[in-house]
Amino acid sequence: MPRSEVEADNTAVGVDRVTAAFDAFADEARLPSIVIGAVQVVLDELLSNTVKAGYPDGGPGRIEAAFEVVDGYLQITLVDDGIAFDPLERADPDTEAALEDRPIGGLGIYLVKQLMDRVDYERVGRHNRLRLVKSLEEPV
Amino acid sequence: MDLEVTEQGGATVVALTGELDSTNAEDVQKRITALLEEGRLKLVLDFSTLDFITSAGLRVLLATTKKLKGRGGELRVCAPNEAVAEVFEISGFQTLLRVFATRAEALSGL
Repeated sequence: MPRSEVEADNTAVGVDRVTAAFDAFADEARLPSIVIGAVQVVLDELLSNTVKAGYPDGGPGRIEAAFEVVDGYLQITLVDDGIAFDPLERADPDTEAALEDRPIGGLGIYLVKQLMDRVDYERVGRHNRLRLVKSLEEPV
Repeated sequence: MDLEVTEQGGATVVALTGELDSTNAEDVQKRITALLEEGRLKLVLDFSTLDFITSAGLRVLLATTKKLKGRGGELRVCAPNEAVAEVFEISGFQTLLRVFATRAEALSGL
């Protein structure tokens, strides 16, 4: 089964390194383009959050990502050593609100939850660990 | 992110190539705002070569729509791929924006 792991700094360059690793993995695993598009969105939302808000004291940090296809499911694990942050605790935005009332925040995490079939968070020691699962089957 | 700006049928068409995400949304916002400052009020964003859009990109669309509305202008979007259309659908932007299948349809009646 195809599997890929990558480690990177908590910087924009590090995020690029992770997304490049995913692109290479997606190519090798021949993922459907709609799944690739969804994961690219998810990685941008989660990793940009981590880099922007995960290290308020500014120190160096590490991000780890693993991509794997198991039994028709894409499994992604993201680990960082930033401050504890459970994105799943965030309330969903009102996606039917009128233009004038649209809030700016909250949409990114909502997209992650909707684009993936399953998202689990745990704090393990000094690490945030997110496990994301996406079916590779076409929805019926 | 490449932006190609053309004038077509009295409107300004901006074709975006690549991805619209947290790494470039601010820059794209600046470039689009500069177009509005030049007095261009009819704007079509052509997404036929856009790979994907994230919430950072949606913010650009929301801010641009609001700015144009305030000036009596209009923003239209055309030719999103499947991934972009899915993000529009989930976020409710499908109903918030005027989205057309083709550039010609977007330009019609603008």
